[in-house]
Amino acid sequence: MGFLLGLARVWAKSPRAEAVDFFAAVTAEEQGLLGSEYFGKHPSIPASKISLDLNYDALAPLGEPEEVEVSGAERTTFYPEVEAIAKEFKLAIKPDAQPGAGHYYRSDHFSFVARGIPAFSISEGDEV
Amino acid sequence: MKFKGHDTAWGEAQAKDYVDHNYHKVSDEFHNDWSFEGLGKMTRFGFDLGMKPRMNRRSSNGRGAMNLRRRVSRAATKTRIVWRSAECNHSADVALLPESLTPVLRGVVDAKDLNDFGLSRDTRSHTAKAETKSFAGVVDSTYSPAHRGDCFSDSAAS
Repeated sequence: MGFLLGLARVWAKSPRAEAVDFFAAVTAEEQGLLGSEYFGKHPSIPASKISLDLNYDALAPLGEPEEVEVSGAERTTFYPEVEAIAKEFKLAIKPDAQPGAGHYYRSDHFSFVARGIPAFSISEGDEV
Repeated sequence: MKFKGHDTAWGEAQAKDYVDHNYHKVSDEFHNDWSFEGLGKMTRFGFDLGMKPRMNRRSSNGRGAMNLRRRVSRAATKTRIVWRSAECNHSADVALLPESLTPVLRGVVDAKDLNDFGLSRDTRSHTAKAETKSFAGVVDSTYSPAHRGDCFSDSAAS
């Protein structure tokens, strides 16, 4: 939550910030993506106007990461941009370590994917 | 998981230790030895990712998003896609965009349209490929498709 508020605070001060940027803290992910599903079904602006959804779940307080997982980004046409930015940050993109676990389908970004919005989750890897 | 100053095995051991001892347990609480350095980096990473579509939109023509919208609608080829579902026939007028215009708009499909069509995005895209000879572009959701089909009451009159 501190991460989200910190990001929103910096974002709001950016000259590029617009009135239609959303920072959502969605509830009840473990119960079946209930919060993000509600937002997906009742978006504050039409889903077709949302160009990108970035989803963060838990981030490990273990120091400076040198690897990142961007689960689902490779399914979007935004992926070349993700690769370029990850490179700038010296973050090696790692593939989903456990694709069989179906994280892509049970993380909050999927409520946006289901509406056709390019969306993915960002983590340091080894999602639990 | 690889963190600065440690090898991958260390990161994976930390993750395993967390899952084994703290994940979804009351012991999952603040620890004094936590490092927030990485969260700063992930914040900046997210900031740059989030700003990128906006920068693309502006840099693509230098005069803002509205101009891009105009370019999109001018460049789009309006095409009718026809398909059959279990219940009825459908057709939709969609705009096919050249790939080069903007990568960010690709993949954006209006949810309401999908519900109306009763098709998943994958099905729709597959159908589009099957029914049109040159589906080289993408479906632009910002161009509102006028759909028709014998499922819909308004089409019965037309």
